[in-house]
Amino acid sequence: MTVAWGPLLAAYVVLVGLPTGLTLMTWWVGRSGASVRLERIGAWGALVALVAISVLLVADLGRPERFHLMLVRFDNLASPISWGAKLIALKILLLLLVVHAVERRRPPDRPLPRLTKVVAVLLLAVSFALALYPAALLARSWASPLAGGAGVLFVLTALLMGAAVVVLLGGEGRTALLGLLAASAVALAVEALALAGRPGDRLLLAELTTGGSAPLFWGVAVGAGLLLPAAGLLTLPRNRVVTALCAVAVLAGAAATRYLLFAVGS
Amino acid sequence: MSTWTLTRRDLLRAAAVAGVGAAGLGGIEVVHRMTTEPRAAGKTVGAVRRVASMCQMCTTACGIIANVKDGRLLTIEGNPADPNSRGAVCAKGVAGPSILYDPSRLLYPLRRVGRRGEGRWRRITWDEAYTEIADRLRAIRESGRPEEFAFQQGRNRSTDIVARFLDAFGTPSAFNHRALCSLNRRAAILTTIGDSDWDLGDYENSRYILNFGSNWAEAHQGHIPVATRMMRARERGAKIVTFDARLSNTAALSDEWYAVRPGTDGLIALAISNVICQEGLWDREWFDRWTNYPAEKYAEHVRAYTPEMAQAESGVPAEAIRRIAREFAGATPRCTTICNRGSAAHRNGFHNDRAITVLNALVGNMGEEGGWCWHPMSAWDKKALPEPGPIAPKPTARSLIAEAKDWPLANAWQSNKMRVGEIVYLWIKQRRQRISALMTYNCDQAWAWPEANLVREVLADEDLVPFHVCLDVMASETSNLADIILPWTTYLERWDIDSRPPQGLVDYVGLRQPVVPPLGESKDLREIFPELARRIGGGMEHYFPWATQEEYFEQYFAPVPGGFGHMREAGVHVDPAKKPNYLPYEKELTAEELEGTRTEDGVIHGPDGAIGVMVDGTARRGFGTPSRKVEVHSQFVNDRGREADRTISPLPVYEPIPGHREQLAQGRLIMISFKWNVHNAHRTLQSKWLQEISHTNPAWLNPATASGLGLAHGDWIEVTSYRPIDPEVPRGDGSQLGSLRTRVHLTEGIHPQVIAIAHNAGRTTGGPVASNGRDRAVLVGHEPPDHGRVWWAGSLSVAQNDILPIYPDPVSGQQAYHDTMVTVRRIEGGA
Amino acid sequence: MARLGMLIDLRTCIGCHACSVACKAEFDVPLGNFRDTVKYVEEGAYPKVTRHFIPVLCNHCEDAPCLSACPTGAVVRLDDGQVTIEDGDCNLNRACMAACPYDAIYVDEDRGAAAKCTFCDHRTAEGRQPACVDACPTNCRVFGDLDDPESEIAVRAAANDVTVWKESAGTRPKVLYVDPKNALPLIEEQGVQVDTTADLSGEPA
Ligand code: SF4
Ligand code: SF4
Ligand code: SF4
Repeated sequence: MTVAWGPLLAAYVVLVGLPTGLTLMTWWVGRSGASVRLERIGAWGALVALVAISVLLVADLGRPERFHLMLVRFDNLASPISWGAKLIALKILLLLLVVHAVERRRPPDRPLPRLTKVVAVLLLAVSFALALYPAALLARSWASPLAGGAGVLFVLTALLMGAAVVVLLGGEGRTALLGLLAASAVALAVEALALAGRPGDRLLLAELTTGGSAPLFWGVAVGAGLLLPAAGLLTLPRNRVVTALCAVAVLAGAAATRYLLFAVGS
Repeated sequence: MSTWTLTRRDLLRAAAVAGVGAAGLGGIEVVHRMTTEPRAAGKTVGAVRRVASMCQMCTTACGIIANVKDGRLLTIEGNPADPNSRGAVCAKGVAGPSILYDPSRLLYPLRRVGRRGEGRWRRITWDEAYTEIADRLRAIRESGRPEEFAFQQGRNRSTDIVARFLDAFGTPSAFNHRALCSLNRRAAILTTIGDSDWDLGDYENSRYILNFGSNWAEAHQGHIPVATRMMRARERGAKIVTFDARLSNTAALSDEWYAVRPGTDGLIALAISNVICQEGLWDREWFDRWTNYPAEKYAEHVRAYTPEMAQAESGVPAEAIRRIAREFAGATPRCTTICNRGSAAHRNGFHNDRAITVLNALVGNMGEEGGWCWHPMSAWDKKALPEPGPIAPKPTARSLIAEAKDWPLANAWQSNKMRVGEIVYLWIKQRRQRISALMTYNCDQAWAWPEANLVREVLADEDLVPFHVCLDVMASETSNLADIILPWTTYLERWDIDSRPPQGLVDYVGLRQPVVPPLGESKDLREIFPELARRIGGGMEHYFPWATQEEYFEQYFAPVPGGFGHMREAGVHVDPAKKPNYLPYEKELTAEELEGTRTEDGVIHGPDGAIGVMVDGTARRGFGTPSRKVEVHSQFVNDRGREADRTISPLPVYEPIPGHREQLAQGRLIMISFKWNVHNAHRTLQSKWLQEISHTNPAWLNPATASGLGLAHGDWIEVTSYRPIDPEVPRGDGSQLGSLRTRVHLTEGIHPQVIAIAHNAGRTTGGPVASNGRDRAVLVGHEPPDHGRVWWAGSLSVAQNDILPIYPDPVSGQQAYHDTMVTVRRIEGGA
Repeated sequence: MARLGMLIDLRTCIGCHACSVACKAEFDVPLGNFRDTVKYVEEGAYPKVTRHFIPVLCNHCEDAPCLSACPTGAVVRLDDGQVTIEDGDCNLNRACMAACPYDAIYVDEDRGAAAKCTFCDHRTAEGRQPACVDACPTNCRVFGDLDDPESEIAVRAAANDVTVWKESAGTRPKVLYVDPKNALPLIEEQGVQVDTTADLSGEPA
């Protein structure tokens, strides 16, 4: 069978967690008293990441000059990519708006609080949709058999990535990170049990846990991504260096998990 | 709560940005819609010109229709009017355009510069080529030794013009490839029934078909006409049983496949005959009435060939032989055998095919509907459609090589000169006959002949072959060793009158015509020969009086209703009054026919030889043999043998291949070769579409054999061959011949004592498509070829023929392709 | 409106590849890409062994995953049920390829678009048979309207046990097979595209 999607798409599936998680986590951390610095970096970070990822997506097209077809065609609403492209464009537009607002030097005249709220909620909604999106996208592909049922994992890893960046930026993300790590561990276990229960999928599980992907899975996704940071954050909660290292490990682990969801079985 | 707020102006700005973005995208979309073409349809849409012609990718010559648009051939399909192929063609037929437009085709005459074989060429004009060739040939002709001009043909479907030129020149040195092909089968059938050298089982109406090693699904001379009829028979519940050393596609399509040890087919047929006789399943009455040997005595003769003996030799279980004998005889008259190179291309092939043919007589299916049939014409009705005059007389000069007197049956039949192609270059090397000029036509003997390295050695030697002209569509191993290369037209750019043994048992005639004009400066023999004749002069030119090829065919086809015009339109003609050739021997002779005849021992002789036989008091046509009956016992072959100091049993017998038993016991294997369905000769390797399907030839080995030799799939091996241990064969001393390096392909579909290597590979020339990327040469006058898309570049492709010994059956001269003994040894990494 | 389909009778397929070459010729399909091909599969152990010939092509699924995956609407269903790709609307995101369980779609470098079997709609529009069906020497490929009970395909589908390739993919193919020897499960893991990496190399290691 031909492998339709290669490294660029893998990079996309991995990286798209970043802007999504960033937006969601800056909101979460800022619920009770946001910091300007965090919101600013969050908005800029998400925007830059999203634009970079869009470039990846366009570059992956065999006919990049025709990228616009994904935005202007509404014939096929069953297509996840059709939705995804439009959501990414919408999120970029919303982020532009936010960036514009956070960069404002003088306090705004005639503020519209209700509009602000609507935009903020829309941004969260779009981000959440984009967090689920890789699962929807890959569910249609026989080449990534693991990904289709892994919506929860995609959301959790995106949030982990976002939280890790927030922590790295000095935000108060430690508790969130710990909670997410716990949730991820549970989700991984549930997923593994589900795979073990289906005869066809048992091979995939074996590939993951004992096969060629095992080093990446145990070493990076589980070891570096879950166990190490959980241990670090719990035992040395005040140590900045340790916290930062834990955040980096979480980033690597989440990326590995996402990559494995994309690649195993293809 | 967020630290930022939005204003009305922000909203407007965002709307503006979104608007500009949407407008921009909309604009791109409008431009895109206006500039993109609708989906390109396939090629054959709309008005195309349909030209009827005949295929020549293989030798079956199926009727085709070429779809041509604006002077370009688009696609090829079958011509439903063709009574043989009935509108069907195979992948090779459909692949025609890839041969016609092959970028590695030769398009200009070339003259070698530097040493022969060095690969350096200069483009010359046709005039230069004609002048040099004509000068050379004229000198030979005027020397009084015209036989020193030799013509080497491969597949020749232009027999009329070739014979005309060679006869007019006066050379008998016409070398063909029949001995590398079908000699034994033809000899066996001629011996037995005389009427024809080709059996045409009525497969479509048959209920039980015994196949002795014929691969009609892939390579038979009646390929598609046979295969389609077999499938119709299957639909009606016919049973097909195949004996073959290898699971060919034909074997796979059979209801039963038995892997036999090569060279034992005749024994199986004799054992089946024995069972039929012993159990009284025969049509004894028919046998006694229509053969020249009493059934009782034949039963006596085959008694020694027990199923148990056949099992021991061939590997086919005795019980299966018994059951098959019963089933076969039970289906008579709707049962038939079919065989080809699998049974015939052996040292004992003549007798194998004799035994198989006589098996049909035993059950009385000969000439019956659904039985074992034939047709007296292997081509069109040459009485109704005579060759336009003037006809040149047959040469009086003699060619030692063509006569091949060491092989008593090679040229035993007046009308059927088979020659012994595989010894040609050996004999040239041994200077048995001097050759002053050689012309190669549609043949790659330097690649396809047994001991091809010997052929190359001879062709490279300017003493042995002082002048060599090669006429072919593309560069070949042989053209590499020429002095002048002439670019030949493909079969899609030239004229022929043609037809094949009619599988429907009614003869027909077809026309091959150019579907597009010749590409580049390529020309056909029909243009080259008349011009050479004119330039050689000396009276040769008188035999080529017509001005154009059309004029010649106008005359040739004049007797057909509607003439040449009708042929150009329909491509084929069948006389509707003719009936299938069922039971021709039963035909009673009319009083008119009997006038002036005399009867001797029951055989009725007319002024030009025997015309019939008295059977139960009635004068009937009988068979075309000396006895006018089926010659189960052939005094004729026995006599021919005696003249050449060879013993040829008058009855079919089983003679084990000398040396096989001993060498098999030592663990040697028998090496056989085979063809894939998408390939034929060297020329099909030029097709990118066919090569894409089949382009590699690792050696087939049974896993049991491989594990015994410590071999796994993909391992590199060295295959070393040995000459036959056979005093009746030239150089039959059992010595080591040569080695090749290849890799192992494991398959359950092969006899454990056999190693099989496909023939369709191993070319080093002809462009990247044909040579798996090995040929990096740029032809004179051509763009460099595109190597990029040949995804199979670098795939294993090994020439087998260098290690195949020249091995003529002492009786007939047929090359024993499938009797080579080899040893196999694992080598590390192939280096 | 017809419901066009194809029936392939594996009992009389001789594995000759006339179909696949005819398809190559009809569209100049680039080397290495396949709209149609014939799979050869060996089954059994010596001496009880056989080889199956299984022609494969796009199934023009009733429930076509390629169609629902395409974000640009380039994959369309024609009136008679054929699933085709509009070159001009394709930006080669290859979602269709990733979605097709039969690997029937390839990137056509010459066209700059994803491409696949069209059921030869350009020919059927002219009242002709698809190129592969026309080319099949044994007539083991039958093409026609599955909804027309008089059509040869409907008659033959009714008269025989028919099955489809990878039924579990749930795509409801319109290429039907008569497969009494149960060969289709043997190519469950394969697709229409040929594995161009499977050859043994001729270069000594
Ligand atoms: S069987 Fe031979 S003659 Fe007939 S279409 Fe195929 S290649 Fe041509
Ligand atoms: S229907 Fe047409 S496009 Fe499809 S496989 Fe057959 S020839 Fe090719
Ligand atoms: S053309 Fe017909 S017989 Fe030949 S491989 Fe294709 S489907 Fe089978």
